[in-house]
Amino acid sequence: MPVFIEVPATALLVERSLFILATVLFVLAALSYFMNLAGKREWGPFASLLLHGALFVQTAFLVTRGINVNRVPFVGHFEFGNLFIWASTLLYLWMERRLRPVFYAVGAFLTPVVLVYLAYAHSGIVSAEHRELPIVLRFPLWLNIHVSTSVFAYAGFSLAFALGLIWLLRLWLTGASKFVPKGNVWQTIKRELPSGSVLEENIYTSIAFGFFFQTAMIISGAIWADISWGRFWGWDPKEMWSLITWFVYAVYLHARLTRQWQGPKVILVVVIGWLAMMFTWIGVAWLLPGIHSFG
Amino acid sequence: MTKTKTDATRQAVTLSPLVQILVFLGSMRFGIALLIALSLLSAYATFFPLAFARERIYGSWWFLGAMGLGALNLSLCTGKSIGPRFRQAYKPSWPTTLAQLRQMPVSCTIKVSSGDVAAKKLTTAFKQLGLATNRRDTGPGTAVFLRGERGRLGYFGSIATHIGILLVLVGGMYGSLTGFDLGGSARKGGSIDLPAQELAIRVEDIRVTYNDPAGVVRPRVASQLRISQRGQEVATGAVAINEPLRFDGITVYHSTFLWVAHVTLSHPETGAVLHELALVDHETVNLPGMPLAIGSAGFFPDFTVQDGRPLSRTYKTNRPALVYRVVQEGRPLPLRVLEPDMPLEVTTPEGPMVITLIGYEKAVSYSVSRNLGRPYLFAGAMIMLTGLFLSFFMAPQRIFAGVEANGEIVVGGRGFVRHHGIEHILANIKSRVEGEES
Ligand code: HEM
Repeated sequence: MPVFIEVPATALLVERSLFILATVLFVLAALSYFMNLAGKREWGPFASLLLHGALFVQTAFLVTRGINVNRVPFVGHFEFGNLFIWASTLLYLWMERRLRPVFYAVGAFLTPVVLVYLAYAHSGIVSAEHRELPIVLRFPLWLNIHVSTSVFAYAGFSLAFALGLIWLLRLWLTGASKFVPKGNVWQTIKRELPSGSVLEENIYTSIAFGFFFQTAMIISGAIWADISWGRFWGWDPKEMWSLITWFVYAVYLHARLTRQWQGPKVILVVVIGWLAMMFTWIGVAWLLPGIHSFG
Repeated sequence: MTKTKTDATRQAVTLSPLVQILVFLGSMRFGIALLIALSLLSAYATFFPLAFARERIYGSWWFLGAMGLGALNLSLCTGKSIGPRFRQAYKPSWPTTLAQLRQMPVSCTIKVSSGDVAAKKLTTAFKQLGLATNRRDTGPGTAVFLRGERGRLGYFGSIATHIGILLVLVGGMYGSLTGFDLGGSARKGGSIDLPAQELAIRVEDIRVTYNDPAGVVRPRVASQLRISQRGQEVATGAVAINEPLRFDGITVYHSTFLWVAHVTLSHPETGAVLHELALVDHETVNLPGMPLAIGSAGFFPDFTVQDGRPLSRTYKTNRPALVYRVVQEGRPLPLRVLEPDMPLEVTTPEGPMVITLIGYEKAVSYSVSRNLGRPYLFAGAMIMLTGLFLSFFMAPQRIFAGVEANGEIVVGGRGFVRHHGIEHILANIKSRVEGEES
């Protein structure tokens, strides 16, 4: 029985406006990154500026939401989704800062991934209501570690997925299939995409980042479960799917080390890892009910 | 320092079948296959109800076997990589010619006017970049070599990670072999006996505290326990949400809350009580000496009906009601709602009787478990996390520089798992040495 919080009308208006403004900035940033990818390089820094703006507004939105619900906003798919949209953008911009201008092309892939998450958060299927924290979740220290580490894990894997998409596009554009488009724009895009080694290097960095936090998330979750429920591991579907996601990325890390796995095989593991991550987040709650179905 | 292996290392060596099996069992290829298999099996298992999956999949010999093989694989692979990692970290081979440096994964050449001062300048540059620096002079008139490095502990990241995982597996296994996971329910004044563990858990009190005046939010339920083992009291204390009671490695926790409804069956005319029953939620009680049973479909503290289903509006006992059904000769009759002071008539083989709800009380279902693996699990988890930190965030970087007497410098560098960032260091060294030169 969720308990809803009454939020004053002005506070609600501020929160909603910030959310809409952040979304608009994310869309504009995505369009500008596309322009950069299509060869108009002067759009790159502008896109980055817009994304910095989106990150700033998203931060303000999360702070407002936190004030309105009087806690860290991570309950339910709406709040958690918005947190990791924030973390994914932050991680991307941090990497972009080191690797621009090459990385502007990556922005054209990261922003659509973020927009997919935003679309899910905006869609009516997830509740954006202001809810009290269920009592079972009121154990702040380990819960907060658990949630914040998972947010960064998801951010790392999202960025790796965006880079994997670029690699897929590269493979397609450089392939011999008769379905490869030949237009000028496609030739430009092909030229603008980062090289295989840049992709490979940064997929590794993103996954290493995500993997570290995913491990910390599983461990802190287990410690929290032990403190709260007297057991570390309940074989609950959400626990199992976060472990499966971890296994998939462990396969990636090892396969990469053997150096026999390159190109398509590695991308396949990156895509499967992302799907497993999405299933942990969304699929489990909708399809496999368990004690984690609160989101 | 070349990337290619010598012919000697490539030579085929005939290994005995046992060694061949061990090599396979400790190989990364087998490890990857196991990880894939465990992922698929786990994914498959999540589509089954939890109790079934726990017993028939996660607890099956083949799932445990796959985990055991994983542990064996990890132990063998970790065991065999400890020696090489130590050598790599502490006994790296020095280059002997500049040509070897040029063949390193990342390299560059710097030219300065005099070889004499070059080594000094390089040493300064290495130190300014925070590289732990060593120097080797190969003899009068020949080249001087410098070695600078960062993140030496990073060589041990994967070993620590793997040892951490092994410790978690060992802790988990030890915990499940020496531990137990049992349960039972009781109401105030009742007790749960676990004969195999010689434990008796007596529920002294169950207290409900509401978090809001209306009772819409799930209330806090705390129970006061007195636990004895072989007749000796071993622990007393309260159990509540997020607060299990722990003693001697044993954890007692609430798993669910129940209601117990007390009903009487009495004679319709004389009012004499013929039977008195305690109906626990969703349990059925047989009436002695009669082919008749009464089953509880749940007790509702604040009863209402929505879409044809009974439910409770709040957690408070505003309108208590028991939903029950009579089972006659194995045949369930329709559900009926029994409220206090509103007795109903029941037809029995012994004639009509009156059923009355005379009281109700809260009961708790407890889980009682023991996990002695806790310290190993915790230590393993921390070692694993440290290992990952070393692998990912303290990746080793090693730079060699060779200086010829004529002032020619070659700098070469490599990482452990990847050579990321080395170019940047070399460019930095180059600009520092050349900058000082000009
Ligand atoms: C199941 C059997 C496994 C085998 C056979 C195996 C084997 C290996 C090997 C041979 C390496 C190369 C590095 C070295 O030699 O020091 C390695 C690296 C590593 N392993 Fe494993 N491993 C296994 C499982 C795991 C698991 C489950 C994890 C999950 C955390 C893991 C985490 C790592 C990490 C983090 C590295 C370093 C990777 C990097 O720096 O990119 N290993 N493993």
